[in-house]
Amino acid sequence: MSGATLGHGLESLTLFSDPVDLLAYRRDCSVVAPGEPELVARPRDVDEVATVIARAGRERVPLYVRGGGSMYAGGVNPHAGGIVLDMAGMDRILELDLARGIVVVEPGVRFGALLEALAPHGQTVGIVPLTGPTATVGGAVSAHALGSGSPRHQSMGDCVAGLEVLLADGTRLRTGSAACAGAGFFQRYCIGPDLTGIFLGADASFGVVTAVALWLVPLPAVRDTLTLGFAGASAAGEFVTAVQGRELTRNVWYAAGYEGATVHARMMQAEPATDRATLPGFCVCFDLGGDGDAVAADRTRLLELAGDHGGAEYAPFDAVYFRRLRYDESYWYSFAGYFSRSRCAILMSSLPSDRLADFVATVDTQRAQWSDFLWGAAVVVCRRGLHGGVLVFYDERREWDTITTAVDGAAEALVAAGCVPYKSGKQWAAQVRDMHAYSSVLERLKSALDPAGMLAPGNLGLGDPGRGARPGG
Amino acid sequence: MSRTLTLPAWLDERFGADLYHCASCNYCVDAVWPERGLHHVCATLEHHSPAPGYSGRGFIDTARALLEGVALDADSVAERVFTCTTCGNCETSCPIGLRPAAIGGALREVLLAADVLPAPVRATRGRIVERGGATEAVAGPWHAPAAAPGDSLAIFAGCAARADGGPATPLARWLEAAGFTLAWQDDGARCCGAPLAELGAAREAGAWRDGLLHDGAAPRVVLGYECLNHLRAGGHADVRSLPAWLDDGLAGGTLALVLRDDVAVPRVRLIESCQLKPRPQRAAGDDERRARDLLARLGVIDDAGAYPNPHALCCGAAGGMPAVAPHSASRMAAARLAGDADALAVTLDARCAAHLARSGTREVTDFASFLARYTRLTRVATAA
Repeated sequence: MSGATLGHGLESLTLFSDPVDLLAYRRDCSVVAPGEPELVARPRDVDEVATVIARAGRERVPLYVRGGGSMYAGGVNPHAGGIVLDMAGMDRILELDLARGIVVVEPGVRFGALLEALAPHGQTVGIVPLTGPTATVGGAVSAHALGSGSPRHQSMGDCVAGLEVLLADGTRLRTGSAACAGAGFFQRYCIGPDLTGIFLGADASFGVVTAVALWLVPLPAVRDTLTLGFAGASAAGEFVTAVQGRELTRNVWYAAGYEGATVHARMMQAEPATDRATLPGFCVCFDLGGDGDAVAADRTRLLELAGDHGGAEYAPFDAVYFRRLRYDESYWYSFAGYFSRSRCAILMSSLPSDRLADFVATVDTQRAQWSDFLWGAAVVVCRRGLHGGVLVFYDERREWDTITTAVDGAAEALVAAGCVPYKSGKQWAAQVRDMHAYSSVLERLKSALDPAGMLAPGNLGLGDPGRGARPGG
Repeated sequence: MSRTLTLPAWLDERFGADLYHCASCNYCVDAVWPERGLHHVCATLEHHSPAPGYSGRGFIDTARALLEGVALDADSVAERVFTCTTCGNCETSCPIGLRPAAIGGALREVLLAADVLPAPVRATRGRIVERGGATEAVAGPWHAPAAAPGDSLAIFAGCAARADGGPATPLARWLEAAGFTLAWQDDGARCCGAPLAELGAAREAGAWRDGLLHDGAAPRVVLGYECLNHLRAGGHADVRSLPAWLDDGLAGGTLALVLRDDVAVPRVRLIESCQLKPRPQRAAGDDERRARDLLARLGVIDDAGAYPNPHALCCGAAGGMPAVAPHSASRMAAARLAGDADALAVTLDARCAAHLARSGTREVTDFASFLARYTRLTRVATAA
């Protein structure tokens, strides 16, 4: 069915069906194959979302949901065609309740706009994706946000107090305390299980998120960064495990670890005269925030603990990379121009902290096998465990076919090494299907909530995966 | 029947790296990051249509698709590419330095060569060619030839400054009152070609520029910023803007500037002009700062810290927007003028000022007119 035909009767909505406009809706930032949507609807409110859901249901066409489109797992890629819901037009902050410590937003609110609104009240939210200026709150909770975990706040989903979701049959569900009419959002749990969690990281497989309640957090009085160098990933992994075990994370808003190759590349680019022999084999970096005395005390304790594992402060990497990453948010994208290749594939998984060395060794194996690409390994430290990011730089013009094969191979290797699929979308679909009991429950949830398989088919390995296309042409 | 478009090899050679380095981050579509002055990126998306085909990313996606052989309707491409203010926010916000605005400009060149132009663009181009400039020039004392040898100041006004209500005439009187003898680099109504360049006619615009300066007498002070950028892009490195000339004179002690005491001087709110944003080959990268500091020294602005924002949304004056989408251009102007209604809105570029004034929401003037109306300039005698 053509986009123009699909749009009949929806003229009061903002619709795009011109192929020139549809180009931008084919993919996210990932190496997951692009899709080919027939129609894009950009709703302004929840009623318009309901109208589009109803239309997709009547016409039996797939419906994909998109926020900022800055994810790395293909969740917004419309492999089965159909309609894309562009939620970026729903960008109102619905409620700011300082007494309850809750902000309720429409899904299209960008983190930059949210932080701007909260700052005058001395408030912020626990986790902000590194793509914050463009990432939407709805996209972040629907896709479980780019592995942007936090030692203090754990994961994106842990910052969510509740959701409003439209189901495939039009049911408007509010989760947590807001499930009770008139109660509003203040508790993640209502009676029984955590229904909020079903929709976090589901990439719209079970419903369309139309409002998100986030817990507010006071802005820290002081921020500081600290970078520690270690001989290698084994020592760094032991150190991180010790940090988490001692709860030295209460003032750490973000922490990340970088393998030696990444440290080497960044340092030699910024400071070519650096003596290579002095470079650490692994760096663990902290972004601390809190009151001044507490931050200073934790900084001292982290340095002492690092010393117990053969580590020491390595300020040069903090200056040339980590501090810029944390204080200049668009610096996240410096990786794309930093290497000579054209784009970067990112594969996110989770792993226990004591498996850090195995994770790095797995990436080393892939690096040796696919030496045409440039590989990097980094981890995000959570309160418990790590999110492991594998970065693969490639030339999209020449290497599209091989990069997808390489990344799929890396995903298999990571699971074999004990890592866990983390990102939703389509990147890990094959591995999710191999988790038989887990996958079976997901399928039953899907059957119950979206029996026609209309919502985001292919995500989480559920439903008809459709077929992807090549980027560009 | 729809027409399709084939891109020439030069576009791939010039921009191929940009097309394949785009990480689809969407900074050029919409981004909000207050610390960086980013509060949405694209005036066209905000006030005309949110369809991404109008965005910088849209231009990248379109060019790449066309290069890879995707059949896109040429008229659809043209409608989107020409409904761009060419403000360059998509480039200044790109975290890896890609050039979506330049790609949009290249697409305009290709569409012009293929004779695929939206009707308003075709009409606008026709008017520019027919009358020799973007606006009807107004005759006046300011474009009389220099009265005396040994000219002390050579000026090129530009179309917007010469238009009815533009700053050329009051500025001339202001300068002459200070004792300057003016030599207007102008044959009465000659255009440097900048408006044609905006519409994608780079070669034709270059010929106009070269024809204007055939005698080698490069104008020294240029009032219009689109003119200044166009002249600089053509290699005329010696042209200067009015704020730069004035600021240098004040700093060097050869000029003195005071507020007039016979008129009530309003508080000023400065409005950024896209033509002054830092982009390659642009001369006026720090003019807004210099003008802000100058007005702050005069004590007429109290929001100096907020200006200039390098990512301020376009007022809709540039790129052909007023002709292609006049209602959207008006909405852009009204949005730029919202707030602080008690202050006089001042912008450095005469074209922006004229466009903003047409929105009718408040009084607007340009920097040169403000100086002429509210200040007194004197030349300071220096020891030889």
